Amino acid sequence: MKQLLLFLSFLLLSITSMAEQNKMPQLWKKANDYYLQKQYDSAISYYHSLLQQNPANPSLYYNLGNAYYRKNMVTEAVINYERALFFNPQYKEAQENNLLAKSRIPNAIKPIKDIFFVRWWQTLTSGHWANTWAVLGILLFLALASLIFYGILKNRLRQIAPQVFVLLPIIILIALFIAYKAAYNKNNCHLAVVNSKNAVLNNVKSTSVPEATTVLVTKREGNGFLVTLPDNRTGWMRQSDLTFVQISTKK
Amino acid sequence: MKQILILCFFFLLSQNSSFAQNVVFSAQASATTIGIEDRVQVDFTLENIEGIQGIQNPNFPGFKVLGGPYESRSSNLYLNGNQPVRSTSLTLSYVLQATQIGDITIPPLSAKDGNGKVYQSNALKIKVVKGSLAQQRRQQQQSADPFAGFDPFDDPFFGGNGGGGDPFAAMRQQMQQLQQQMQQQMQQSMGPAQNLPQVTEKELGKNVFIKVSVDKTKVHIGEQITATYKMYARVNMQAQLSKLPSLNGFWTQDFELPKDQKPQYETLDGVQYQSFTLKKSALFPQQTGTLILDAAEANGVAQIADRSNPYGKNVQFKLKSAPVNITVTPLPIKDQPTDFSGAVGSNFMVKTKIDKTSLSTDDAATLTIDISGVGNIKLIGAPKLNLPNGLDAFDPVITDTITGRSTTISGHKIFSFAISPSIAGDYEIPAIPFSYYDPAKGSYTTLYTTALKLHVTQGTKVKKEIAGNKLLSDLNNIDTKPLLLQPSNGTLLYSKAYWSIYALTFIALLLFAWRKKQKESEANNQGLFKNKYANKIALKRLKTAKTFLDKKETIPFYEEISKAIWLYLSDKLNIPLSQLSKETALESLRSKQITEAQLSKMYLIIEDCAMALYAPSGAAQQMNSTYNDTVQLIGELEENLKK
Repeated sequence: MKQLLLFLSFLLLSITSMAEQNKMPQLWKKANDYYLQKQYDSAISYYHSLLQQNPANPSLYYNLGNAYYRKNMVTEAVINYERALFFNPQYKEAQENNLLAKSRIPNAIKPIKDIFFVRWWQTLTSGHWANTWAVLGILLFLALASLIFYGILKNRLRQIAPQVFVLLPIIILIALFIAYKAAYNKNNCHLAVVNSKNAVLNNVKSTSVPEATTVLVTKREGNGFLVTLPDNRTGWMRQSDLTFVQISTKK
Repeated sequence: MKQILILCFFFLLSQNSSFAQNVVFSAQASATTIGIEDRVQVDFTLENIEGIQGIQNPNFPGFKVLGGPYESRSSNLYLNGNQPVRSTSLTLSYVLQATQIGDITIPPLSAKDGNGKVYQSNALKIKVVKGSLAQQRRQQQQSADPFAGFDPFDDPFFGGNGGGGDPFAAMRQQMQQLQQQMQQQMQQSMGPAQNLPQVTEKELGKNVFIKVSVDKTKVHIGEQITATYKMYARVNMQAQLSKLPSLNGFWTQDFELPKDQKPQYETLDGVQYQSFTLKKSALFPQQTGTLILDAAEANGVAQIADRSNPYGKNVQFKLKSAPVNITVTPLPIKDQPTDFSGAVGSNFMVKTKIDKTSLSTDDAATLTIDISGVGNIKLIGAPKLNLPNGLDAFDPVITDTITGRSTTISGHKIFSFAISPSIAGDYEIPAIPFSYYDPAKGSYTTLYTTALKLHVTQGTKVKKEIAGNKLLSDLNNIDTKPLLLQPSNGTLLYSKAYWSIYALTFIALLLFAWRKKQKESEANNQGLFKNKYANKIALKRLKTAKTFLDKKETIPFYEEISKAIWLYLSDKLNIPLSQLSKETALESLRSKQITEAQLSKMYLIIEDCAMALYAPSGAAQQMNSTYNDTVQLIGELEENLKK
């Protein structure tokens, strides 16, 4: 009896959630139609209402960014492209549009390219690869385990080269470490976008930072944030001048 | 003080007035008797000295200078009879403290004016006594006034001077002195009043006033209003403007006033006044509703007739203009062009210019839009460029110049757009519309510039907007694929299942290894047990064999012997009986380093047993030796296999 009740309630729940989801394709189509008809304001409001149920969808952020770009709201566009890229770092269209939007920033700060190995490391630890690394780690671990299993079974443990038992665990640990970093990057984003025309970077002296610049936040103290600009300058900025790419702190 | 300064700038216009003025160069001290611990302020005032070239540095014997010189300038304009008279004054203040007791004289100071004439001030005598007079005074006050001790302005510069606890006393005193001087001058210059108007104090308001006149009170937003602030007077007076109107809600452009302004004679309601224009401005309202031209205020002194005094008497007065309400209506929305950016006026012209018509993508062109006309030049917003894709414009640099300000405000507004092409090609910048509202006609007018052609060649520099090898010219289109419900795919590393796979595998491995080990040790133990007891069993068998030997029963004897050997070997070598044969036993024994002699002995015994069992010949002698050999062999083997 109890199980039946549980089952029924589960069914009810799934039906209601399905009903909500059923509305979504229509809203999505409507929003996109508005966009294509160049009614960007309406499109934006529809995208926003979709976001409330779907807060982690890169396509949604990407389309919203495009709508803002069309409205010449470069800052909003950049924020939404960055969000799309946070949820899907390999989003090619979003990357390109983000670049295009950033090229519209007057007096934009020219980004300095990191050294090749830093870039490699960033690619390896990108949130996109978090699960790949985790799977790699577990596969290697299972391989090691089955090797040991076989060795014990056949009394041949001594015959396996001892280097295997040193190298394989090290490789597994490295894979897990990278997986850990990537998982952190996947769930945390420290990027923020400057949202004010009068934003100022305070260091030894104050310099103005153009609106829509993406900065990396490394530390927080009260209402101040320690940030790194695209050209690797660092300094403090006010909280009110920044919009964070990650909406809530923890999902 | 600020008001005086404002006044000073305001009346700079009339600085060329060349009326004779009384020159004053005086020195004043804030107190004539001071304590040695007190501070005293000494002011040197220069009045109406034109173009002061140099002032000698004062020396104060018997004093040390604690502060100064503090310089203050003021300028004043008043009507002397029918003439506006300007007076200037420069005051240098020093704060001093005495270093000795007694009567000290501060020597006169000299100054030179623009014509090389030298003026000299008076000398000052100051009596310095012991202690502090200011403190004594303060204590006296304190006994009467409980709050005097908490003087918030107890400032080192003023704390000790003659005014006791009041820090502004010195300033006030100075002002009063100046005023008195001025009044004296006025009386001297005017001489006995001959024709003073017969007005009483109450009627003063009708004889001196400030009036604001505007050319219209109902306008559209952005439409020009001309406002004039005038002072009217029928009496001898002097006045200072104390408050200029702030004119909130308007963009104001002042008209130039003639440099040498002579008073005008104007008749208002049949009465003749002298009028003097204080301010004339073009006002452009920036918001709708009722805006108020707020009051201009002035303070002054007027000379009116008095029976007891032939010079008349001086009456102080305050003037305030009546505020004027202006009703501002919004521009008609009907027929308003979409590109309208707030320009209101007439005779507008618009011209465009581009500095180059052919350029590369590395370059930038400057497009200049020059709007000229009469109206609210400053309030015109930038016109919108409809640039084709591939051309980008930055925010314009805006310059506006006002060229005419006689009765209307005319000028230019120039927008400079920097245009940077991103893709090579031929472009046409379409005609730019510019609309304005003409209040005289009551309608909108739209002007168009001519379209411009632009030829862009590919530059050598690679633009930063290149992603991959693709030149970004426009947005990638939106994603219209069905929206995937992405339940933000979890992080494997954070899931319990992921780590339990590790844990389970590890535990399974441990269990398996442990089990295997246990099994092995069990088997080992059994072997060890057998090994341990092999000797005993063999000896037991040999004992039975011995009884058979004694009874001379051949077959059971050999059976026992062969059993003893085989079982012994089986247990010792850990080989099951079924797999045991001569060959395997020998091989196994060899691997355990048993000597060949022993092996052959064992081989012989086994052969003997087999022979005796299958072909019994039965010699007791042989049985005896077999028995002995076996006992010896097992003993030896036991010795060797133990190791």
